[in-house]
Amino acid sequence: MKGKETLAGYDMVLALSQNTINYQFLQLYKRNIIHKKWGVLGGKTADGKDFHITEQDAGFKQKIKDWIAIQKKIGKAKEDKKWSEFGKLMTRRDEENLNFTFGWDTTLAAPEISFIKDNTKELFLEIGFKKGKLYYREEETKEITVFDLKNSVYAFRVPIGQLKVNKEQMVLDAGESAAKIIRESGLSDNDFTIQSLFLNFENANISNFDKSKSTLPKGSSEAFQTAIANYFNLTVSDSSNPYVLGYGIQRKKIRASEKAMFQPTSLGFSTSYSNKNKKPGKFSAFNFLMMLNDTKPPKTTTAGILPKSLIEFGKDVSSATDGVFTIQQEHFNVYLKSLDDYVQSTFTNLDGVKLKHGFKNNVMVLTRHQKKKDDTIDTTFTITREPVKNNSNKSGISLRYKIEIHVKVVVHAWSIKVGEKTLSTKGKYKKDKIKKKGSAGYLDFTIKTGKTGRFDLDHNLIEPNVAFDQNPNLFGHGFLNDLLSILTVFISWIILVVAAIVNQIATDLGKQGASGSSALIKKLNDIDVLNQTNKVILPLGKVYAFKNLRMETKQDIVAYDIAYAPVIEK
Amino acid sequence: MKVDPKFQITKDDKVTVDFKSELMQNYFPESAIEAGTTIRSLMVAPEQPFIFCLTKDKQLQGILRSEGSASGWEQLIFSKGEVTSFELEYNTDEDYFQLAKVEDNKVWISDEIPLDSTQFTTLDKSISWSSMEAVNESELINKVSIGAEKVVFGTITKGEDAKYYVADLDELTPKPCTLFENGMKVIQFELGNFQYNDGVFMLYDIGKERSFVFQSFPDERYGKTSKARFDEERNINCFALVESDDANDIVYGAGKNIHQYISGIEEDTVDVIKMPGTFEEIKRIRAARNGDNHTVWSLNEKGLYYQTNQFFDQESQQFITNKWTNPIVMAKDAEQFCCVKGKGIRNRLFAINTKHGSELTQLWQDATTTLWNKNTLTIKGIDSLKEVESYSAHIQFHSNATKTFQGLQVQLSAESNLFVYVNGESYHIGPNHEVSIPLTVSAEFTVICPVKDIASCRIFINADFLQKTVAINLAQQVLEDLEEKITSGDALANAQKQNGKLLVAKGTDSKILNSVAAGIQDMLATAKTMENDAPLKRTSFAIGTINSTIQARGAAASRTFSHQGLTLGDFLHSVWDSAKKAVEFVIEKVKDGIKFVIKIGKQVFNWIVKTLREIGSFIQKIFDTIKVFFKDLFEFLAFLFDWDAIVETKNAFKDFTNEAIICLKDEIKNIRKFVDDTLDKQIEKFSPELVDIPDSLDKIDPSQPSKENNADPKSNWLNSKKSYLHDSSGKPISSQIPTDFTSVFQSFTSQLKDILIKSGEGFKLQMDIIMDGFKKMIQGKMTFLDFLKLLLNKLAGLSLFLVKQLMDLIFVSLDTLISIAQVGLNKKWEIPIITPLYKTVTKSDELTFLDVMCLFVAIPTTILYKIGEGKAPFGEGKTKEEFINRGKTIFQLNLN
Repeated sequence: MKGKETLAGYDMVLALSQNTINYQFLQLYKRNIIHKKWGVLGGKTADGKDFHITEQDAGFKQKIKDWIAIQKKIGKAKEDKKWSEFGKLMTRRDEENLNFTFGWDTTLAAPEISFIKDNTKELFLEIGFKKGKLYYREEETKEITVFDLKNSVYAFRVPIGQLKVNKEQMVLDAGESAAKIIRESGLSDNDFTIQSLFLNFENANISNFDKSKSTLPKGSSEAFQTAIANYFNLTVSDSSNPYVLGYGIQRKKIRASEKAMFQPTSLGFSTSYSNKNKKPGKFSAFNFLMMLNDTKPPKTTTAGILPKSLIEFGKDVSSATDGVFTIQQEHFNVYLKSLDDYVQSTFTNLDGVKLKHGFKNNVMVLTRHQKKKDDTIDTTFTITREPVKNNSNKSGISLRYKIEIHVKVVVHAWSIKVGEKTLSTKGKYKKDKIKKKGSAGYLDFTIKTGKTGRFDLDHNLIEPNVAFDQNPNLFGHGFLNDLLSILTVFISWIILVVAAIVNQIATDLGKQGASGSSALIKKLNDIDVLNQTNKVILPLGKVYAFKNLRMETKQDIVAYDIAYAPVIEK
Repeated sequence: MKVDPKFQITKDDKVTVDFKSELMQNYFPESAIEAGTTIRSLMVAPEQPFIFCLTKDKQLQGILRSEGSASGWEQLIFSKGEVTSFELEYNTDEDYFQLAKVEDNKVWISDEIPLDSTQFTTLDKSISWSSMEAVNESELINKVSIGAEKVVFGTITKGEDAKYYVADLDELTPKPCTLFENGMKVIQFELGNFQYNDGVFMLYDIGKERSFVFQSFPDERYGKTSKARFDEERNINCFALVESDDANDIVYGAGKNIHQYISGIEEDTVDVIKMPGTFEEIKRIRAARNGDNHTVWSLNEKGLYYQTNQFFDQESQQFITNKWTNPIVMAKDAEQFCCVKGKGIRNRLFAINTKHGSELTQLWQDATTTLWNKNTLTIKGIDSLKEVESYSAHIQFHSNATKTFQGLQVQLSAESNLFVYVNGESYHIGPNHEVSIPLTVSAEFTVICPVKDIASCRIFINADFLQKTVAINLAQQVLEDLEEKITSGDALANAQKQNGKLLVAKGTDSKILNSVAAGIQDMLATAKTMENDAPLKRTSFAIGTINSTIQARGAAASRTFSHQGLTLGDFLHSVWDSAKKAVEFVIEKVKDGIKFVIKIGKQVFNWIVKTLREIGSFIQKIFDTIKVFFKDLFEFLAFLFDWDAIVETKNAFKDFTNEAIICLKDEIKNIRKFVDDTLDKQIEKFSPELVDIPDSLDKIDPSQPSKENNADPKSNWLNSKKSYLHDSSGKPISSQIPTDFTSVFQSFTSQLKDILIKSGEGFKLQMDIIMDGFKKMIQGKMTFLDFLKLLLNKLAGLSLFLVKQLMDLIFVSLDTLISIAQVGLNKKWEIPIITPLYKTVTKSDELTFLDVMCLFVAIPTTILYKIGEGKAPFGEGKTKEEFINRGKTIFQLNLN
């Protein structure tokens, strides 16, 4: 199974480009959706408890000034050994709640991520400082050291391989209807939003500081790490605080979509670095690794390490798209199977038609036995599904069912068989009502991407024609007449069959122009095997838009170009 | 012309105002604007919309509201050939707009058109365009949309998917773009702003469904775009964008419902408001905004719906903002439309229906009364004739002071917003919209207010020379007539229209007629108290058969509103006619107006009305209940021109003049002798003081009608049209006179020049007066003797030599004139209003120069005669004959 290799053991993978993630972060930042200010003063109260104030507290800026001033005086008093003065200042510091150990007063730049070559389990998250200062008190009685953080970058590794989507937490977060979906499937569209991704990144251990990527003011790295660790100890423990890293964000509320045919039940993450066209931002991917039907994710060492970034398979890699969604061909075949079932049902619902066997090696056989007085007509329908192909000019997949018909007519006279003749779609001889040479019929389906993860199914029917397999002019005259009178019935029936099939499919596909009902159609039951236009095939349709459905035969996968395009609805 | 203020009338000169308003037919040289598909509009100034649409030939036209122009609208053409698509973008920050059009398979972008410094009336000449093309020639450009910084256009190529291009307005280098879904057919796209990103809103078909999305332009840093999909339970069929005060557009998406999408500020969410109302599939939607007030118009098979977020609360009689009303049908026959919002004209809708003549119509709501008004937009068309029902008012100012009104102005305003014609120029007047009208020596003007029902309001006249504001109730006469004529149900049943037919259909229930008559009298009484502030008794009446159970119940008990939030105007325009049930009224005077409580079935409405206009509308609606519509009331109450009688009079004048001219030729010798004799006598009487005529009087026309005439829009009708007569497609009127005359006049003036050089400049002024008198004499407005007296009076003081020379010239010219007069006078002449009107009246007759002259006399004469005598002047054949025969002796000198 090549598909399993391509997708590193997973059933489905959604690959989102590095540029898209960074662009979306920038959007969140620009629109002030993620909090840009990172301001906090942390210290101890008089009775030794941790406390902090943030830039949202009134007098924050003044506190910093006062703190710096008093520490300066304390330092001076200590240096000059003016101990009574020193003692007074220390008391005052406690009284005025100025016993801080560190302080941040900064404005952040948009966060940025980058993927690491040959490392699929980690990525860099870079927090840039647009401006601001870090205030750090090395010792209790020393002056404050001030670091100018303008244009500094604090980068750390986020171990995404360990990220897990926690089901219980999700149920708590989700609304009523979404909760149901989560319980059933384990995942909601919400988990695939940029906001969720961002929160996931932020949950990482911040101390995973990377020196090579970071640019900090000289001599500040120790102060920085201590202050940042303290900062998180202070703020993260406060569960009501939405600010995990300096950036605050709310999970985006997305209304639950219908359960998709391919609904993921587990989610893991990895990255794929790609330097195609020397544009790592464009082709490197963040992978959402998904399993279907509660199958356990693979546990091999190579699980999730994709041989190649899936974005390299993108058909449209313009600014309109953001990545590639893929599913193993094997799983996609489930959908094709449902089409087979559908085709089968349209035939078996016809009056008098019996299924000999359903699709076996892409072939289905049906029979019909008819009797007129003593004469018999036996019809065999052989429906063959031809190999699935990508649509030649436009996007989409073409599916073709070949319809072959074989008819055996046995003519009796006074219960004695007087002759047996056959007609078929391969027959070459015309006569009387049989006006055309035999030809196979074709039922063509074109699968294209529709709205929000649905399919748009187009169909076309080429009518089959049957003709005599032997030259009827060589038949005895009397016999021929008998035969032709039998065939009158037969021909009209074949026309009805075709009409019935066309009508049924048209009705099922919700297409206009289905002609009026006939007796045969009424007998066709409602078929919900395939209510194509309304059925959600693909997951995440509320967050991603899909286009350019195609099979990547070499990789044994089915792929789409995707766009991060959340649905806006009431 | 400047007049020395000491010669002008002032407040101390006891000016009296004489006015009269009539419900009457009126005529304008205008034609309706025909338009093809797509309309766009914007307000280029407060209350000044500029509408863009295609002509029937698919040229791009702009229709500009133009105060003080003939029809109020000016047409500008912005393309040479067919335009397949166009769009305009209004930049709110920098206050300019830009046009984009597709012409000749190219995209054309106009330069920036600033609102504050553009002469819009000549924009068609001053506009400049830049163009760009698609990459391949085989691509057909079919759609364009323009934004603040970019322009987008779509192309189709045979057998391929739709494409679109984006270009910076600075560079106009189109770059191809792809959709992020497999959209095959783009239905609508518009540049706009969503969630703080510039981009394209697009509506396209994807498979069998329709998708409405937004995609931003790629950013520079990452080359990525922001995307959003708008998805509701039902497909969105169309959308509209409205600029908001922050950077984002307010988005309206419509299908079975209308949703409003507003980008959150500093938050990720988009505020989605599902507006009240469920529709059959909406096909087209437009929205407009004025501050926080929004209006949405949506079209489907049932008609054009209107809804607003200014919800009229019946309890407080005030608007609640940001609460949407239920949709109501405002027009049944619109196909293409656009809308704007203003202050005095609260809502405006411009619509076209290609099935019914493609006329561009305007539906607008007056902010004061909230009443809706509909009219066809017209442009001046010299050869066209538009008949309108109107209130026409003639206003004159008199003073006994020997000073002039020349150079003074009056200010005209109105109780509620109106579009009126003042001296043939269109203006918007309203409570906060004043128009200054310059007066001439004649100190009079005509206000014509086209109406579609009998309601109208008071107009106010203010001037420095007036002691106080003069209010004119345009509908006064009509209200008085109604009071006098509709005294009872019986009177109503027997009332006859001017053509002798009954006003009310025979067999109408007498009970209903009684209630209608009583209701109208109540309304009229209400109208009176409104004008004179008298107390009003609380009255109530009902029209139609009221279900006794409903009647018994109190108003408070049965309050079920299905039309909440409607203003009175919305109610009368949309709900009343569809109610078709019995209606009960309660009228009572309250502190700030008159309170109307209306009960229709179980619904109870109440509004406080403040103007006569609203009461008039109610009276009209009461008549509507007994199927007496405005057309009927007009035939019942209005002054109708008796064109047959006027043509008859004209024919008499014409025959008279023809006779007179023949006789004049024979009389010339006698006249010449008389002149010579008289001149000698005049010279003897010469006195130098006659030479100096005060400057302030230099324009006074000695032959103008006596000032003792009362103001009357009917007899003054022709006078009110004179501005049109002097303007035939911009050509001076002299060129319209038959050429034979022109050549005589030309030779006359060239010879006159020599005399003028000898006599000096001051003489020219007198000559103008003489020439005018001469023309009047030819036209039959002045007797020949009076003309001669005028002539001699004016020439007194010149040297005898010059006068004799001049008289010779006059007589030579006169002799020539008479020879050709009969030919020349009977030549065809095309002049505005009169020619089309005459052709309409007589069905076919051609109008000659003489006809025109005679008509000018016949129109006021016939009207005045009919008003005075109650019949047409030439009703009987004998009178006419006698009159014509008098023409034979008219020039005979009878100096006794």
